[in-house]
Amino acid sequence: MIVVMLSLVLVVIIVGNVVLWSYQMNQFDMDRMQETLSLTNVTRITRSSWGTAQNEYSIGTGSRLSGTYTDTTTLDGVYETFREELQGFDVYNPSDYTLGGSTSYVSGNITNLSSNDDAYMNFRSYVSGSSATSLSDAFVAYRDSTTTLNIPKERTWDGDSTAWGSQSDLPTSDSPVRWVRVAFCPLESRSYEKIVVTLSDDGYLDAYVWNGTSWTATNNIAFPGTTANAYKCFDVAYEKTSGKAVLVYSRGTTTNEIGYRIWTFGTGWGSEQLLNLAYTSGIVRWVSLAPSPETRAGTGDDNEIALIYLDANVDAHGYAWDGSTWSLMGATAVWDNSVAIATEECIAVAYEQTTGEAMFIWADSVSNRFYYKTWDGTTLSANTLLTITATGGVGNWVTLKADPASDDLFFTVVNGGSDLNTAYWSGSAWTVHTEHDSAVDTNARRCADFAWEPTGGKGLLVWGTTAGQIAYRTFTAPDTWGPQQNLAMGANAHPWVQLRTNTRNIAGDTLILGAVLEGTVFDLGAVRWDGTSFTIIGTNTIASDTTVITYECFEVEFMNFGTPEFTCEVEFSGTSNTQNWTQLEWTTDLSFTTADVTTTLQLYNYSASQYPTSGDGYITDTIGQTDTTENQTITATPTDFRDISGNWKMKITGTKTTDTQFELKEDLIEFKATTSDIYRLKISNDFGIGLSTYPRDYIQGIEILIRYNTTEDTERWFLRAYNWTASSFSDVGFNSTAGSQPTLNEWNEYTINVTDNWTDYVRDDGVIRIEFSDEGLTTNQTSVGIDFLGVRAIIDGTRLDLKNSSPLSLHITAIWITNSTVHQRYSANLFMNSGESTSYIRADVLLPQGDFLAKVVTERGNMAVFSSD
Amino acid sequence: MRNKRAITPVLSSLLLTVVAVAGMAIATSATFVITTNLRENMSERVIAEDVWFKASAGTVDVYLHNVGKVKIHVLDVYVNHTRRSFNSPFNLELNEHGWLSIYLDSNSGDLFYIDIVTSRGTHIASHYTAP
Repeated sequence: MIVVMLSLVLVVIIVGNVVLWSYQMNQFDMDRMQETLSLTNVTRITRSSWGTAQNEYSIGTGSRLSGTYTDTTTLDGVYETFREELQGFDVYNPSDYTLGGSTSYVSGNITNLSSNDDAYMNFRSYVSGSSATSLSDAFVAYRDSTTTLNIPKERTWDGDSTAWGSQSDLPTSDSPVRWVRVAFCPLESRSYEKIVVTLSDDGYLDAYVWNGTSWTATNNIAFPGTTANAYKCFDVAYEKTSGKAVLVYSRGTTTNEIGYRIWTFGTGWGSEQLLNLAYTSGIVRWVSLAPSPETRAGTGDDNEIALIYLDANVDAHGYAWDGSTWSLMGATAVWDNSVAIATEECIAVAYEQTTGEAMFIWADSVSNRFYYKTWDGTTLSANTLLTITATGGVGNWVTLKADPASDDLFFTVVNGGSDLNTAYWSGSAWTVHTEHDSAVDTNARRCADFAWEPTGGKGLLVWGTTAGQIAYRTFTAPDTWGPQQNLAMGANAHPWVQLRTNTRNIAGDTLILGAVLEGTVFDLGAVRWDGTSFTIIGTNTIASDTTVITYECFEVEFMNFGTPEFTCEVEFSGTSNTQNWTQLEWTTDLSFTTADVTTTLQLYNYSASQYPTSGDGYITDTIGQTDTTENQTITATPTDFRDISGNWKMKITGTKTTDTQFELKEDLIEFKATTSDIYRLKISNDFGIGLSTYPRDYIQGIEILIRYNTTEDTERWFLRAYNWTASSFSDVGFNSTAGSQPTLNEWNEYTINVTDNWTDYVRDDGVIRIEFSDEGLTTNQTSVGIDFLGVRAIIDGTRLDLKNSSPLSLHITAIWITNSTVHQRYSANLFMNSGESTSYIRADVLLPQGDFLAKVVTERGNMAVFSSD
Repeated sequence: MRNKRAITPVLSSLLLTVVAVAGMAIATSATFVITTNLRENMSERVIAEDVWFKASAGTVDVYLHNVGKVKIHVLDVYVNHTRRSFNSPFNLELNEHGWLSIYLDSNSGDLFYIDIVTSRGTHIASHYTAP
């Protein structure tokens, strides 16, 4: 039973398979019956379809004015326009550069100047001079609680606007600032450079150097310690000639008590050097420096700095720095081992500005007594007594200020009884003045100061004596005083008063600037003296809250020169050819890191042996922070701007009077020498022939057509094709090589047939590269509009127009071309969608002469027939 | 009483099974053979793409194209119901095509009924007039 069932199943499967097969064949027959293919026309064709530009034209010479390559793909009057440009030029870029003045290289290299691509060479400017008319600027660094006390603050005094600028931060010192000292560089070339040194709660000194654009901080540059930091146990001063700065400080020790470090431009701070004091051993508490005015004969004082210090053992002593070593100036013992007090700064030092002699002065432990020494570079005088009887006590705070125009000195003392006394030194003798005040605001701080006017002989004494007021008197040497004036300033006592003399003598300028710290509210205010008026600029102009009065936490300094004039000067050089030139075009693209730089561009004239100051070879402009292209074309004796070897050089100078150093950003320098005045246009592009449709074996040649118009008709225009074998453009095998003579104001059609040697012009992938160029005769610049440019293959083939009217897609597998003598079958592989009409082009199907019959056969076995008769 | 010469039930069943298997095998094979032939007959499709009267050569060439699903073998050719010789053997694999030359003299205007018969009995027949 099972066998029977299995067998029946097999029979059913076999029969079912047959039924299914029958269905499939029936379906095949049904489809075949539904196929309706018609061959409506069969014609001979001799050209392929046009191959047009698929990408933008490459411009060998000339330029593109408007339109795109797509405008050249159809004959429709829409065109792309090109223009002739001068041909026969060489472009050169610099190969070297030379820095002018003190201009410094920053970044980039000479190859960055070959193209305008925002890849720059940067050069930093230098101080080339100073304004002789701008009013003097000044600077103050100070402690302030804004943000944090760890961060020193600074402001700049703008002499022209007679106002303090906005507050700025220095880098942090990492500890609350206590004492501040400031020094300006005495060299004009670095007039912008200033040094701020702070001593903080943590016992460390921090140094900051302004390089013209930013602060360079050296934190913890030295460690006086947390005992000595209760006093101003450091000072900083520049050497007059070298421009080096010397930072001298207490090391908080009893041996090697003093340390010092040298600041050298371009190098930075040197390592710590030690000074083991010869005749004292106490921890140094107070340090004061005075730079020599460099007015002594010879060079011995060029970089001299005088030092006086006071230690915890109330010993006062001094040294002289000669630029490399410290000198005891011949002293064989401590100058004074019993000065008035060690907790106040009762020492001072200053140089007579004419003789260049230094005076050291201090208060003695005996009331009314002050001792001083002088140093003339050779001899240190003995201690000499200055008695100011009116003080009635020992001096706590003394200052000594040098008249900038003479050998006069002015001595100020606030003693332990809060008396304010002064004395005048004429260069050889003292004049002691009548006591000014017997009850100043404090004897624990320096609440009084004196400053000379820049022209000398006169000065101003300012002090705090009544809460809410500030007092001042004018002084004329030797002993002429104006009445005491008390001006309202704040509401409290003024424990710290600081005055500074303007280092320059400019008419209308501020003569003396001062900063006054008010107690209780801890405001740091500002005052000024213009020779006739004493002005309180504000009670908290500089700082609103220094938080303490314990320390002289600020210092004001005038800049030594007017507003700097920065200059950046670079000379670029290169080579060129030595041919005759018809014109020279020199171009540069540049910018600066600041606005409004007066810029001069000069091309060296070898014939005149100088850089031009006008005319050819000279461009001037004001250029800022945006890249600007400057360009000049020279047509008159352009060869003057090269030497006999073809060398050339170009100088770029940027100058600006500004407080901030700037950089030149050079992007492009181009020296373009034209050896011909002929305008040329040469463009090329790739065009494709579909080798799948037109097999290479059936191509008989190529045809090139251009439709163009021109603005000039004085020269011919040529077509050439790229010979892929020879790797060059050629017109070998062209039916015409004479070019096309255009007619103005109309479209010109120029057709080239290539039937010989055409295979070298067709790359394996069917690409033909065509070049269109002018004859190269005219000196007139011509524009050319191209409406059409294309190539096509010359063939002898057949086009079959087919229509599939059936609801099925079909596959044509054969083409028959028959006549009485030939029955030629061509395999085909053409699919047609339902309802589709197409022109089927076959380059390999050759129609016979006379009548013929054409048939196409489908895969299903249907045929469509076309008869030519 | 039992007939000792009779076959046992087991043997009887075995014999019956053998007979059944043999019978069904024959039936299945016959079915397969018959249906295979039937399927091949149904699958033959041949078209004559072109007919070329070559009077000078004394032939009429018919270009046959096998568009079916089995290979074909032309068995006989009849022209006007008369058997004619041709370039035998003439076989076409699937989708193969080629000239079948019938040895026949023709004159312009002659009407021929050409019937090409495959080995499976498929006829490719039509009237043709010599050009």
